[in-house]
Amino acid sequence: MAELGSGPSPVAIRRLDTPESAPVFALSGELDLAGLATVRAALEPVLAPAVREVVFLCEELTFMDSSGLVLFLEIVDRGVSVTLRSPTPAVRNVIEATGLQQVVRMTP
Amino acid sequence: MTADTRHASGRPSAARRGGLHGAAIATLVIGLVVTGGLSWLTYVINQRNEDRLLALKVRELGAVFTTVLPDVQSPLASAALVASLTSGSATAFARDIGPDVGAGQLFVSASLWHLTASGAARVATVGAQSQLSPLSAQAQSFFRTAPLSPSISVIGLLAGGSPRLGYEYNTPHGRWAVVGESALPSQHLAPMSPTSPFADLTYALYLGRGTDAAHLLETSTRQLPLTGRTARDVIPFGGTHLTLVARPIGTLGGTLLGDLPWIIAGAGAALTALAVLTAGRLARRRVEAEGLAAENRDLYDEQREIAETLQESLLPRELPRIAGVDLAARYLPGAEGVDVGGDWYSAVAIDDERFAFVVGDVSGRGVRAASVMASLHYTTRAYISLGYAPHRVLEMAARELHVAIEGHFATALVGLADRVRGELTLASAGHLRPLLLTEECAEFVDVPVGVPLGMGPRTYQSTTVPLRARATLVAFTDGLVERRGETIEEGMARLRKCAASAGTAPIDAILTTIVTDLSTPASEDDVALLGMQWLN
Repeated sequence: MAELGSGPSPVAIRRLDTPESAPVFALSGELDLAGLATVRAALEPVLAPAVREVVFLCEELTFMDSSGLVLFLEIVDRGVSVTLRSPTPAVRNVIEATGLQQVVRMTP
Repeated sequence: MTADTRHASGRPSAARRGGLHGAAIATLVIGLVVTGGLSWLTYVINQRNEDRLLALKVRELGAVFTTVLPDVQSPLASAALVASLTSGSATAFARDIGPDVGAGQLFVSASLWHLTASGAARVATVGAQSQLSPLSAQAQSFFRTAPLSPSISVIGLLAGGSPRLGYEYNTPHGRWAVVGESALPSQHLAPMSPTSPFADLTYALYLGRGTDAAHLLETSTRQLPLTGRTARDVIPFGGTHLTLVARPIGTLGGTLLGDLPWIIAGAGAALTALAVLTAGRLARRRVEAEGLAAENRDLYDEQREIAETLQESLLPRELPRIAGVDLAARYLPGAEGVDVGGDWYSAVAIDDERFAFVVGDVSGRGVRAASVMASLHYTTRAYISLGYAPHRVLEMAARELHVAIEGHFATALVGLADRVRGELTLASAGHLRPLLLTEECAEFVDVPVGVPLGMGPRTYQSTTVPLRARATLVAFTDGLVERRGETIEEGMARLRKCAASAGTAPIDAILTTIVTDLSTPASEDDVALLGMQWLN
């Protein structure tokens, strides 16, 4: 295997303190099925009915499989728009390959 | 299979039940041994203490008995002195010793004796008749050996109507001797006063060194000789000895000390019972926990097996035979110990000219994902077999799944091939683009990718590409190209390079090459591949 890392590093989610109206979360590590529950639990209290948009800073998210897509689709399905800021190629590829750029916005 | 596993998990727990009893029995044995040991130790300490206390008490009591000697000595010595001064005046003797003779006095009888070389003769008697006859062997033997010094001597028990103890005191020159006879208690019985410091003793006092019944002076019991725990003391007494034997009534060291072994035994037994119960309960709980773990393991295996069976049964055992097209497929389950995935594929012949196919992937894993996959599999299969355009199939399928309800979404690639027209129409709901191999090149078909299934009703687009002879299409799921540490683009580039090297080999050989090159033993995700090759 041509992998660089010695093993999967679990996903971490951290809320950033920004002046924006939408909550901003930094995602890092590898987002897979094992980490989905962690991220869901961190988001749940924030996703109040009044929230219309969530921003994810993805510059340190090195890997994402369909679990990440489930996460974003669930949020979008609640009528909340999802923006991925600075996605890594790994993330951008998954989004584009599955046609999700139509429902998830990606910004540099 | 279910019954077998249950049975298997039941058997070791029955075997462990022996361990349960073992733990309880071990606790019981240890508890009883410790309790017994402690009780025994306490008992031994208590016995030693009792022995020591008894010995002390007996010595004290013996000392009390000897205090009678000075009391007896002074009136006898006084009378002996008077007799010596008055040359044996009976009147003077009676006047001197009279106050100490009589019922309730020191002596019941007192007599003055004149000692000569030929023997001892009684000169005068005060009080009751003397029980020491001058001619008796006892008197002759005593006076022959009596010490010629002013000190009190014990003559011994005097036989007669009532038992008496005889004392003697003689003058320094050995001419006059005074004999005092003290009454012994009736039948030698002298119970201890309840207020006496020795009330907790049963005793017997003998004259001399032995405990012969004939030499008994007094006792507090009729049951002689004393048996059981006894102590003995031999005390010098007026030229002879007193032997005191005593036995405690109850315990001398207090009831608490005496009862302590029993208290310890009782408490130890209670604690042991408690420990046995606790050990039993703990062991039982462990057995239950182990049983539960085994059952969970069985259930988990069972669940995985059900999911695998479900998935295998859903995948076509045989691909349809379609004129002018060779079909081949592969399904690779993910790494062992992980739940089954939701990848699927199917192909259906619509009529002589057309056939349709679907390759799909339900997100997530487990039985739930497999059941979502089953539902989508049959829905799409029904739609494609009716000859709907691929984008219509996706639009209809999109209504079947909702990520918020099922917790899963799905990607799918639908294709419809028309042999007569030489066309292939494709539509994608979030699915990876298929790889098209021709004699010239290998490239991914540029299918407009729509939103994955699960986001409610959506619209999709179909795209149509021309088909040439020997063209090969490989549709696949993301497990084939998704790896940690690299992007999907990199994985897809690897796939394209590998497939291009396979060139125009038969479809089965191409799929084998791809699977061999791209899959790794550590692949977590399932992989489904469907390949089709147009022959002419």
